[in-house]
Amino acid sequence: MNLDFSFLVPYIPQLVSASKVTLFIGVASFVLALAVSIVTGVLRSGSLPWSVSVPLGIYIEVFRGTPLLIQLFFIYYGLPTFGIVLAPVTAAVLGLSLNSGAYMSEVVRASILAVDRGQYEAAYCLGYGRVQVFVHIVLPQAFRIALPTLMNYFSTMIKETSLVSVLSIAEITRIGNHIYARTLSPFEIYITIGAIYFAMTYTLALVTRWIEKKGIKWTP
Amino acid sequence: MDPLIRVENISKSFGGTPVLKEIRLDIRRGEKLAVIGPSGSGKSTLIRCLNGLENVDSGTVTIDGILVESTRSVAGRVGMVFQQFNLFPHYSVLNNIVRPLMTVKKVGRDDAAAMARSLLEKVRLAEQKDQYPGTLSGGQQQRLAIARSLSMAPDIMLFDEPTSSLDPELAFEVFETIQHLASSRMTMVLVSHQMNMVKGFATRVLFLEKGIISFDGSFDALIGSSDDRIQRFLRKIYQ
Repeated sequence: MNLDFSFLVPYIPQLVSASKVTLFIGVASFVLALAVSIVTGVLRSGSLPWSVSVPLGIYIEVFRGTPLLIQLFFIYYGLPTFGIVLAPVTAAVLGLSLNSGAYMSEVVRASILAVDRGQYEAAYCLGYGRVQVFVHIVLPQAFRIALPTLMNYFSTMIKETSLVSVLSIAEITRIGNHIYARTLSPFEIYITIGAIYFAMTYTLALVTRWIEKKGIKWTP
Repeated sequence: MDPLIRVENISKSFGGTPVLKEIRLDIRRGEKLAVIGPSGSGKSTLIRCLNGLENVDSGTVTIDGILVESTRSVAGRVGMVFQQFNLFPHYSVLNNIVRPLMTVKKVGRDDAAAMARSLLEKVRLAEQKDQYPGTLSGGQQQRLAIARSLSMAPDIMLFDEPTSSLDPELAFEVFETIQHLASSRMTMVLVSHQMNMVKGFATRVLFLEKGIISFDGSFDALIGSSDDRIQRFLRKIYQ
């Protein structure tokens, strides 16, 4: 078998711009999912009134219990039925962030619950209020516990952006499919696309490792 | 003179098991009280009721006339040192003192750092100020916990088995620090199994058994007590 990647050279600008779209959707979705997960995770780690806990529980169970692809179709094609029309990228970011936010909120909740009870007691004895204990003592420690799993979700989200190609977004998988349709050389093009995803996720893994080793100086 | 701490008929149960039964106790200002007794006698629960870490089922605890309903009622006035240290692992040694001063007492960073350095000198941890608690020995961690509690300038210090998780050499370091503090006018309550520590520390000893105070007096009187249960406990401890 002869491998020849030279036919891809004219497509480099397209691949670069598609990679930027993939990165944008991945990063924006992760940031939004993180915000969603912190709010829902913090709320669900305490005792909540029924009126808050039930809607949060429904959100988490529905988004964890249905396929992401169906959620994306629903948001992009289904919501216009109710008069909500979203641009493809907006729909993609919303779908990805709500889907991952549901999983990540459980990580945040479990990490908060994993902080030792003695930390609360020591802080209360020193005179910290409830919010101060949460902000200054519990969340920084929960962040360390949650970090590897959250970064793992980030990596998964980058890969899941390939699903949003179904919303006609010119991200990297869709552009790959276009190049394949024109050149009929699937092997080279999909190796290249795979390598681009790998470069993104492996960089993320290196960043995570660096944060864990150098960025966080303390040990539990 | 009114006692600084007044405990009136407090009872506390866990899951239907009574742990404290109608305890009455007055602690005078400056007193150094040691609480001893067998495991499960309610010693730790008793001192945790003093600062509101445990809510009592009935009865009241007042400190200087203030009803203790939660830790907030007496926040900052009652320091507590725990068996498991409970230091903040994400703060450096210095910041374990600086951050609470800034957060709770709203002291400026420079003033807080100066206070922290002075306290670290007192507990012989000045050289470790930039380390994190996880890198310290157990004895050093407990001395830091003591310094952190003292930074809030409490009127009362509670020690809940402060040396129980330490080996004898490290326990001695902590014991020296507590004994040094005991020479101050601060009111202190210590729960401990270590009788040499109790002897060097206490002006008054309580013997707690099955949630009831069955002895209240000096250390010498405790040793000389003819009560069978106390003698059995002492023999076990000294073995």
